[in-house]
Amino acid sequence: MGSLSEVLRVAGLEGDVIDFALRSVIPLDDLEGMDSQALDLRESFHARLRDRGLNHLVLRFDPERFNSEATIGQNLFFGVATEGMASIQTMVSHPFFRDTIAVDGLAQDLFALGWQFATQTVEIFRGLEEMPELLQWLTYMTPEELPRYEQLLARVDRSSFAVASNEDRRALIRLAFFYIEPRYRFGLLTQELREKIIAARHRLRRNMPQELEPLIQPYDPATYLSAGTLLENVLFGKVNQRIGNADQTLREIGRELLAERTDLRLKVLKLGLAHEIGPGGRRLSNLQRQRLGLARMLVRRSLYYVMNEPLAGADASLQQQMIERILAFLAAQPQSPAVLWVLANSELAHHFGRKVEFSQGRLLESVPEALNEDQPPLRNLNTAS
Amino acid sequence: MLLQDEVKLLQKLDLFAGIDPGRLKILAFASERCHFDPEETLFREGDESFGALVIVSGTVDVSKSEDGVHVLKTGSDKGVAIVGQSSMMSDQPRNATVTALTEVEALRINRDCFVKLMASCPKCSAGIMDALGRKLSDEDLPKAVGAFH
Repeated sequence: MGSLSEVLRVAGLEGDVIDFALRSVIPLDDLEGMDSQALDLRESFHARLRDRGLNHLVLRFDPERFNSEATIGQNLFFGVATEGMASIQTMVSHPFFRDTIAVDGLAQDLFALGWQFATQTVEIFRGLEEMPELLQWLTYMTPEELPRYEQLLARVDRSSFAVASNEDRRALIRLAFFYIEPRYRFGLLTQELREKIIAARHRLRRNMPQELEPLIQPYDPATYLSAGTLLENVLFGKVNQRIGNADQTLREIGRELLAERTDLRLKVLKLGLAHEIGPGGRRLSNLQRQRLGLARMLVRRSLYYVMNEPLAGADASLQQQMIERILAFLAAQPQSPAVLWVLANSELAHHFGRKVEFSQGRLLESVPEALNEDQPPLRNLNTAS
Repeated sequence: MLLQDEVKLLQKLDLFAGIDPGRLKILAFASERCHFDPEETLFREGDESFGALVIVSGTVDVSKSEDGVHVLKTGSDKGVAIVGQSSMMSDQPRNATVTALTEVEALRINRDCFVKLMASCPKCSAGIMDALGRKLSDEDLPKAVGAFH
């Protein structure tokens, strides 16, 4: 695994593989102690944020506060739905839940918010059936649900909770659960409603019937969320998207902390490597597929490596970087191998011992290049070229 | 600031003025609001482009290493500024470094959405081409003319 991790670094795939792992929910059977390691990482992560005065980059889950980057549903249930949407459906249909949100007129407020949210959404995305590629930004409704909400809005008014059918009530309240003010910016969430949601959160937790308990795993700073992703477990909160460079800074801190934890780092890489990439790697970007091809080649020990424009399409500075990394990696191998590399850009030829130029199938020129001084000479280079 | 206000701000920019307001709303919807502290870097020369940034309020410094020239851009109630639009259009790495000089409120335009919008809406791309044409005649023609003297 040690050398595989080095190959991933050289091919520039390490970050992607770690990202795949962070976004996955680890099956209970594969935990191998990662639950307690994730909790330790959670604590260290927040300690490092505090040390650097970067606390504000993550809005931590706090039972007494409304998390502005979390959905209304996450704020209300204050935990991870163990069976995703199915958990929420079961919960919402239960009389206990209906009673809980009947207090303070919360149900009416959520109904009205859902109605406004649906109205704005329909206004933005109506008539886009022939442009499905633009519908990908609509993440809280399926394209089939859009016309259904449109019909619903024609049936009910925002204040008609009392006369609306149960089905319409559920549809609008369920939609309200997806709302995040700073992300959608429709101006629908008032301070009063935030407070009502916190109060309802406490009522839900206090009185939850036993049969509903397994549906939600509460946010608890000392507990691993087995239904949450590794990232959710480490962050234990929401990234403050309002801060322009938050993602990047948090990523750097995460990388630092992981580098200090060899065992966990290897487990994370292993988990990321198990990520499903679709037939032919369809779920990867073009560049990721090219990097994967490189990694697959580098992981095999060989005396000769032949590469035919392996980074076609990447910009010049990235090509330069990759060539340097790959040559340094291969030169450091016990039997430093020969490398034959077909370049699209002859300016990069100075990295190699000999440049051979062809045009229309004919040899134009074959000249030894002055090797870069900090580049260790590669054995057998002349033989290969 | 609400989404509908952001759409109005976007309409004031040449680049987006030709886009149908309904479509522009999708672009604003797919984009994100963000904040930068003074001295924070919005992006660096050579970085991969995620899209343009519309400066809603505050002042940024735009600098290019090739000529060492610094240009200040400010967004306020009177009008917004945009940075990173050329790398958004060309999908090339950033050609300048942009740093916040004051507190900066910005809207991060989603490049992918912008490209899809252009591809799916001939009227939008015509509007954008028109804006680009005007920009070219404003900025580059005097230079081109100057070269002949």
